[in-house]
Amino acid sequence: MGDLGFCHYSDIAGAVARQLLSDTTADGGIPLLLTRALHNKVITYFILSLRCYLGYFDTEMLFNFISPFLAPFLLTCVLLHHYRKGLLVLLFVMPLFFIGNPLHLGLGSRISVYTWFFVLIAIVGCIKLIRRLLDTL
Amino acid sequence: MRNYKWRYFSVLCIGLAFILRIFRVGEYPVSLYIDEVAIGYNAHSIVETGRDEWGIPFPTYFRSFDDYKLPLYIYLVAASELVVGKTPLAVRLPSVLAGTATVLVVLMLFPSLGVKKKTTLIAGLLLATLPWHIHFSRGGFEATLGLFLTTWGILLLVKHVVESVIPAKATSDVAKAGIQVIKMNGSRIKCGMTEYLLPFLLLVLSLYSYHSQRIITPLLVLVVLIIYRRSLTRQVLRRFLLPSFLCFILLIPYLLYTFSPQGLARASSETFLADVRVRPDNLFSQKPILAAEHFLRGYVSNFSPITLFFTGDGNGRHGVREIGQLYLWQLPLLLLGVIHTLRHSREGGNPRNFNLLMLFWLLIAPLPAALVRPNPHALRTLPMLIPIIYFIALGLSRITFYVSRITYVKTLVFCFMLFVICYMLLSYLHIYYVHYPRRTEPDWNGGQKETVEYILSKKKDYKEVWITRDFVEGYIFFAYYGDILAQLENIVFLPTKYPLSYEKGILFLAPSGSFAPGKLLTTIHDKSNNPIFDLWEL
Repeated sequence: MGDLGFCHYSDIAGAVARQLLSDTTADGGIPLLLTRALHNKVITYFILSLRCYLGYFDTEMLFNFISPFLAPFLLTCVLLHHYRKGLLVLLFVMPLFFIGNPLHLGLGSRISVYTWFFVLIAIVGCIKLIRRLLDTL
Repeated sequence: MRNYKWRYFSVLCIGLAFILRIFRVGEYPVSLYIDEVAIGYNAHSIVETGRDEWGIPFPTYFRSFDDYKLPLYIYLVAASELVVGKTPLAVRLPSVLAGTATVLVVLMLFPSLGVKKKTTLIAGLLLATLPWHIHFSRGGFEATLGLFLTTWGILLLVKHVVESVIPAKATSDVAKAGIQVIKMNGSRIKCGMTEYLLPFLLLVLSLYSYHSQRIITPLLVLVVLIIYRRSLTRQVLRRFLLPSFLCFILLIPYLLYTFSPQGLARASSETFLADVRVRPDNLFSQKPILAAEHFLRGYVSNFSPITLFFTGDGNGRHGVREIGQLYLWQLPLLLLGVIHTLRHSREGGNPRNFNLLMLFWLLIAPLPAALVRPNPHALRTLPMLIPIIYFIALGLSRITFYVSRITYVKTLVFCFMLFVICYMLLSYLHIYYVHYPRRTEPDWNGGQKETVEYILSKKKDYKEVWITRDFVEGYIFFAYYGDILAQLENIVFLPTKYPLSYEKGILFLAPSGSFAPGKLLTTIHDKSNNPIFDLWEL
């Protein structure tokens, strides 16, 4: 959903309509009640919204924008204790910023912000790792 | 949990797994895809003549389309064809049985490795109903057999290693876990040389089952040896000697095959290095750096939440596409299970070792997929399933532990979860049996059987039959559906899409929607009414 996986809330509405049309067409011959139970707006909206949100944590997309060599530092940042709660909150709020896009950023700017966000987390992870290593020495 | 309840739920779980895998397996997926046809024909050829399609008697690997298939699955299909005949069911039956047996293995062996019975039961039920596992168990995929053999072999090896240590080190953590096993089973367990033979044999067989297992199995054995190193006393290692020697003998054909050009053919044809584009002018674009980057990118893409929970890997043969390889409700439980494992990784004893084994299993499983392309790849990463269901089961049992203190919340949570689980399972089955056949028939080579049958009924009226290149590896479909290769006598497989020149008196199988100078006899459609090929009388 969205250009290069950068999903926006308007993408969700469009995707819901397309998905429901496609599913009900594929269901031809199935009792209407079953079709309505399995392919309804509420559940489709919920699933596609979640997909839109989790798309920002998609490892396939993320490591197309940043080097996969940064993966250990990202993990360190999330796993080690210092500032973990703050970072996790920031991490979970980040997709909402892109989905809502309150600053009306273009795709290029959104890619830059997204890339730098994770690069910064990786830098913090790197610092945490070095501190941990120095502490153990 | 009481014993009768445990047995009752286990049988229920295995029954459910078998029903979900066997129900109309010959018709869903809609037709046999090219590899299934090749497996079916080679198995048929072994049954009839004792030789493969290339005339090699009882081969240790099957040349097939020069992809050199591993032998175990094909021989099992041969046995299955002896029982049920040359049908789609025969090609898929070993996979169905292996899939069901994997559930049985989980239910039988998890408790003896320190996993609680409730968690084991949840894991068994999860595996029985998981889209990822159901899907591959219903097709003629060697990966399902590989998963079964590796899981059984590794878990049995760990079980015997844990049990062996009890008399020697009665006070160690591992021994405590072992004593739990003894209490559970009610008698003292002795593990001699013969007990070790079975896990070793299973692990060797897994190497003959699927390409991914050639990397995963040795690495997992290494991990087991490292994690359970304290249990590996001299006494235990001595018991390894005879099974190791016997397995080494069984491994000789495998080793000869692995390091031969044929053994490397599959890996070298699909290696990820083919995608690496070196730029000599840039210091950071040298081959080792780019290769490592490509490898890592492929590796991490197999953990993509979108692939796992929403879309699958995009290949129509590897999943229904509309939902992922796992159910969406399992996402928070998976995270909870992994976090719980990481938090308690410093606790001693057997559960800690088992948790570590599962973590390493999860990390090792995508390695073979990352070495080749494309990525993510649901089939090659199938062994990830075992640690994943373990972590989900652990997460679910943690939730039930937290809510069990308040009765009405417990009932409410239980009812809600039951509703969600049933709804998602029903939704998956609906997609599998209703949407999937209509949407992905071309991925399963739909319409090719009908094409072969039509041509074989008409070919005697024509000088020659010309087959377009678009009918990929068409000879195997003629061999399988037409029964014998001799029927190919006046059939010509063109190296191109269209012939360079046309002749009269020829039956030409052309790509759908094409034009040829002659009379259009018919257009062949698959079961979903998609046009597949046009047949022209030149």
